[in-house]
Amino acid sequence: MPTHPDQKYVDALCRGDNRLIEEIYQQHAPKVSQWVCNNNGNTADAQDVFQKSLMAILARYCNQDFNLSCPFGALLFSICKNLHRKGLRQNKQEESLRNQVEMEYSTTEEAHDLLEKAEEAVEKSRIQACLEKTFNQLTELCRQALQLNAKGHSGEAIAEQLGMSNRNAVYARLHDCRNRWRQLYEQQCKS
Amino acid sequence: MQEEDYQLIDRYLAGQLNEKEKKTVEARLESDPSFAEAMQLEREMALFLRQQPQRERLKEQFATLGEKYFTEPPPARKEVRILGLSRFQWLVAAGFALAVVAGALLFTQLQQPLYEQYNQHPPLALTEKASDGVNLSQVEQAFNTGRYQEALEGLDQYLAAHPDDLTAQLYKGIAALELKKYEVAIPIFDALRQSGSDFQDYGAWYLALTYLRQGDRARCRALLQQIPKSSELKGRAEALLEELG
Repeated sequence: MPTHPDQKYVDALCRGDNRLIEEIYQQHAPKVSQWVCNNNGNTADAQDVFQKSLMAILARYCNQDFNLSCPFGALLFSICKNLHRKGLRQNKQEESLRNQVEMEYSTTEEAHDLLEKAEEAVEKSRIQACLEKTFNQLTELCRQALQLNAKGHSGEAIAEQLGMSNRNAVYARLHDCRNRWRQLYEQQCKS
Repeated sequence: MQEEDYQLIDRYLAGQLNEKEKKTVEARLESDPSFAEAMQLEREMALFLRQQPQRERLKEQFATLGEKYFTEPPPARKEVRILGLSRFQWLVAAGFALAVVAGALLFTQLQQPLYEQYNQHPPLALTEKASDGVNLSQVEQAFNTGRYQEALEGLDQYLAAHPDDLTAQLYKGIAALELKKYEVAIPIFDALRQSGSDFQDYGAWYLALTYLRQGDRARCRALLQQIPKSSELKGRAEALLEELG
C-alpha cells in the first residue's frame, strides 16, 4: 500500500516535532472534543482520551517500519472512540453508545481495517501504560540501572555512575530489577 | 518459566545466539505458549525502556497543548420549569419545603464535616525504595497510624535525596494537608495535577480536598470536575460533587 502523506504526523510523534504535534492538536482536538462531549463525556475526558490515543500511536507504530496507509485523523479518531468506549464500559454506560458507534461504521473493508488498527494500538498502549505504572514502583536505583542499560551503557560505566562496586554487581542488580518488574507486572496487569 | 529460559530470551533478543540455538528458540516459540508470552513481555519491556524518554517529553508537551486546545465550553443554562400550581398547592409545597430545609439543616449539623468523610488515604508503602539512611518502615508506620508530623519529617528527609519521587511527594502533601499546613500541601498537589503522570488525578483530588477543608467549595468543585471518567477516583469525585450540590 502506498504511504499516505500524513505519515509525517506519525514521524513527528516518534521524533518529537513540536510544530507538527501542535498541528495535530489544532486539526483534531475540536472534533474529538465534540464527539466525546456528545457521548456522555466532558472536555477533561476528551483531553485524556486524546493524549492516550497519541501515546497509543507512539507505542504501536514508533518501534518498527510502518507506513501509514490512511489519513492520520481517521486513525487517531478511531483510537479515541475505542478508548472512550472502553472508559464508558468501565462505567457501565456503554450500551447505547456501542450501538451508535457500530451503526456509524459501514461494513466496508477500510472501516474494519481501521477498527482493527485501533484495537491493536489500544491493547499495545495498555501494556505499555501498565509497564510504566509498575516501572515507577521499582526503586530509584533499579530504574536508573535499567535505563542506563537500555541506552547501551556498559556494566563498568553503570557501576561508576551509580556508585556500585563493579560490573558483576550491576548485572546482578539488573537481573533482580527485571525479575521484580516482571513480578509486579504479572500481579497487576495480567488481563 | 525457569531462570535459564529468561536468560535464553535475553540472549536471543540481544542477538547473541548462534544459528542452531536461534532455531531451537524459534521452534519453542511455536510450541510453548508460556515461552512465547514471556518473550513478548521481554520485547514490550525493551520497547518501554527505549521509548520512555520520548514518552516523558511528549507528556509535558501534551499537558501544555491540552490546556490550549481543550477548553471547557460555557455551561449550558438549565431550563427552569415553573409548574402551574393553585394557591393551596403552593402553600402545601412551601410548608413541605420548609420542613425539608429544617430537616436538612439538622441532618448537616449532626454529620461530620465533609472533609472528614472523604479523607481516607491509601496506605503508604515505601519499603521497596532505596532509603539512604531514612528508616522508611518507620515513616510508613507513622503515616499509616496518623502520626503525620513524624511522617512529614521522614518524607522530607527522604525527598531531599529523591526529589523526583512522585509517591513520596504525594504523601508529603497528604501529611501536610492533615496537619493543615496548606502552604506546603497546595503547591505539591498542584504540581502533581499538572505532571501528566499517573499521579495527576490524585493531585487534582487532593487539591480539591484541600480547598474543601479550607471551605473554598467553588475551587473544590472546579477541580473535581476536571477528574476524567477513566480515573479510579471518578466515583469518589462524583459522590463529593453531589454532596457539594
